[in-house]
Amino acid sequence: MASKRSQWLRGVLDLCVLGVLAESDEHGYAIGRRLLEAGLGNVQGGTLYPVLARLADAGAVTARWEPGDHGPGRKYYTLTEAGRATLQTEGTAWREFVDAADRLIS
Amino acid sequence: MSSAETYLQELSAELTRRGLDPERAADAVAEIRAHLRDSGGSAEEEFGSADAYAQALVTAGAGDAETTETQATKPAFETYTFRATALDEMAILAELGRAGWELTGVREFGLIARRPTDPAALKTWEYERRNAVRHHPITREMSTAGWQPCGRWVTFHYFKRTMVTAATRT
Repeated sequence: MASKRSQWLRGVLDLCVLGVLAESDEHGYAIGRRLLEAGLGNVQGGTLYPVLARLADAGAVTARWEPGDHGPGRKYYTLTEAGRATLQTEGTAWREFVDAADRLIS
Repeated sequence: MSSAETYLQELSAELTRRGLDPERAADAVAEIRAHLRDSGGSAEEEFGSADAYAQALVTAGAGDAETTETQATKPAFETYTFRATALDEMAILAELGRAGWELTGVREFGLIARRPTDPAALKTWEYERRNAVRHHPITREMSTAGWQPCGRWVTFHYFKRTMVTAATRT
């Protein structure tokens, strides 16, 4: 089941990350924890950080380094207005897609 | 040196080798260092081999051509030029081919490739390079095994072939 879930996640991970950031700015490790807590399984760093890089290049998120308590800090991500718009439109398209699949499966 | 730092050094070298902007490379390495500090996990377990992860980061950047296009103007292919030298280009091509990149041309230190933006159209490719003075005999010989020419640099002739996998076998 884990491999099926990772196949499904591949299609929607971008949106899930935007969804997490819509609630609050987060750094990569915390985004991974939020996805795990949401029930999406353990998203490896090797999967998550390239997604964040792609979202940043596409202008959907911006990033900044925050100083840490002891030495180097963490890189936090913020959802941009463009990212918010993408989440809105693609989120709607996703829900329609899922509803269609659901009708066939149930 | 800790194993995390060894990994990060190797990652830094791999990113540089692939021509990633030095500032971006340093930023990526710093971010993973911070992640590993929080997670306490093993770099290899969370990120895979430094080589494979460096490739994932470099091609993530190449994916912007896809994500910034709207659905209406979406091109059929994303294109990218990957930095490579004669010594490492075949290893790089092997990985790129497995990731769906089709070589369309070769120039000094650069491999020009394209990949369908539609995931359903993705194919995987394998590549061969032959050193030959004349084009036609080597092309004829390679075509008997299904190899098509896809680039040429000086006496190097490059050939491509789609990979038959369990997913594509009928």
